[in-house]
Amino acid sequence: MKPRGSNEALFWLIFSGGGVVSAMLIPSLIASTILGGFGIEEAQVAFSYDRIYSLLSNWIVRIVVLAVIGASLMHAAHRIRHTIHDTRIPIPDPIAATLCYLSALGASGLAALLLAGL
Amino acid sequence: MTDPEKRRPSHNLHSNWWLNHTRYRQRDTRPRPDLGATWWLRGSSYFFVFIRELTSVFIALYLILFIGLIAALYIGAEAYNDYMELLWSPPLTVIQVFTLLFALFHTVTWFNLTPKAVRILKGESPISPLFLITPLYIVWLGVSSIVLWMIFS
Amino acid sequence: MTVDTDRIPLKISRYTEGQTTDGYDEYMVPYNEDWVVLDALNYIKDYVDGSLAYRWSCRMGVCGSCGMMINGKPKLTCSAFLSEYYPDPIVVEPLANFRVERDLIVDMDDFIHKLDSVKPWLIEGDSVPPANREYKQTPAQLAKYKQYSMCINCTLCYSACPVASNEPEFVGPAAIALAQRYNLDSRDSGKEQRLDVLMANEGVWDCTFVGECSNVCPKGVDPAAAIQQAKLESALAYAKSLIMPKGNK
Repeated sequence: MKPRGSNEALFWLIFSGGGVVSAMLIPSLIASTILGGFGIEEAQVAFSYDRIYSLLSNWIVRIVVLAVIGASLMHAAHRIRHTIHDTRIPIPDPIAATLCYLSALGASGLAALLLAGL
Repeated sequence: MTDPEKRRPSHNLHSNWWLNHTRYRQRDTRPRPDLGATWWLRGSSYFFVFIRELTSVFIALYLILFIGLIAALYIGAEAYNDYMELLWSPPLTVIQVFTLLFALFHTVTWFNLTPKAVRILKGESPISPLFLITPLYIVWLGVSSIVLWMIFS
Repeated sequence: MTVDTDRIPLKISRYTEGQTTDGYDEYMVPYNEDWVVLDALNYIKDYVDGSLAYRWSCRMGVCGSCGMMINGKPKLTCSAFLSEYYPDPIVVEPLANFRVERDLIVDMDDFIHKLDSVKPWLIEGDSVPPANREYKQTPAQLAKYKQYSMCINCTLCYSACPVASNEPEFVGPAAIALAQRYNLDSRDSGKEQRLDVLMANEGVWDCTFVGECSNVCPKGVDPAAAIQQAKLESALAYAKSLIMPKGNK
């Protein structure tokens, strides 16, 4: 069964969804892990092994974290693929697309395995 | 009604029929000056679009660091503590600051451009894009507060 | 003759068929505050060099035929005042991303074919009016497509577009905006036919939303927004064909 039009539609839908997810969640995520780097003790305590482990032992949190990682990586992969093409970096689009999407899926799969095994 | 041949005027042989024309024209020897690979240096509006696209590289980079954090957590307390020491070291803190700036640029450009994809008319005039942009920022502030509260409370 | 006026240099791209090197000619043109670049070109053609070839017609930003690259930016030469550049030299080149026919004239055939492919005319369907009667349309129905109907086919948007630069096959901003112009018209029933063209890779999906097409549009058409809306519709039609395979094809 062949869908109508180009399959690019599917990747665009994933890109758009991932764009919303990363716009909403990535800045606060980065802000949380950056604070310890400025020597703020409360932030370092908040990121102690036990606290983060117990936070991620909640299945809902795990699923949300995985969704954020997966959607944002697919979003980034789509943009990187098109930027390669737009700036004429000499990688043929089928190869660039395969590399970008497969790395995003691979990294998300790794994250899923790690989160499931915690 | 559903037969594509009946649906199209007879002079259109194929829905992408102009491709034959442009492909033929690519053998044309006349010059075709174009914008080149460095189109993004042709002015500030192009440049900001390029930066917008570049945010994806920094978001991907950060997510790799974040998956590293989960991996360290998976391995054990010692690996995790070593990893956090690395993540909070000056070089990686600087990298994180850059990823944060790019991520914020992504958020701002994404929200501000969202109204372009939907056109809502109220009577005869389009509604202000602010009706769509403002709720996005409010949700963003809410979601960010929840994330930071969950981690730091 | 009166006193010598100020002059402004114009560096103009020249090309004749068979020529292999880039060629520019420089002309000194009298500087007039109320002159546009097109006036300067007409001065050159009338008094300095009759061999210069360029296209123009209305001189008032309506016909869309005098588009050229001015200092690397696509503009209608009838709307670009010398005073914006004076006393710096003005570089005039043919519109980017098109085959050059001669000097400042580009070959529009590619664009005309792309435009034709989206069927920019009313396609009759269920909404045919009774015989010998007019189509009725409310102001609200007109407002839905009016903005996109302002396009004058000047193709400045194609010259501003890095995607059109890389992908000669990309249907492009003006053609997609005009597809939307008819798709949104209450009298039209041709949306499904146009979607076949828009849903291809060379349709909406080549676009990476650089948005410069809308910045250079002299008529405020906002083709970038039209393309994003067409992307959303194309994506929904794609999803629909997966969920309900029988509804399409």
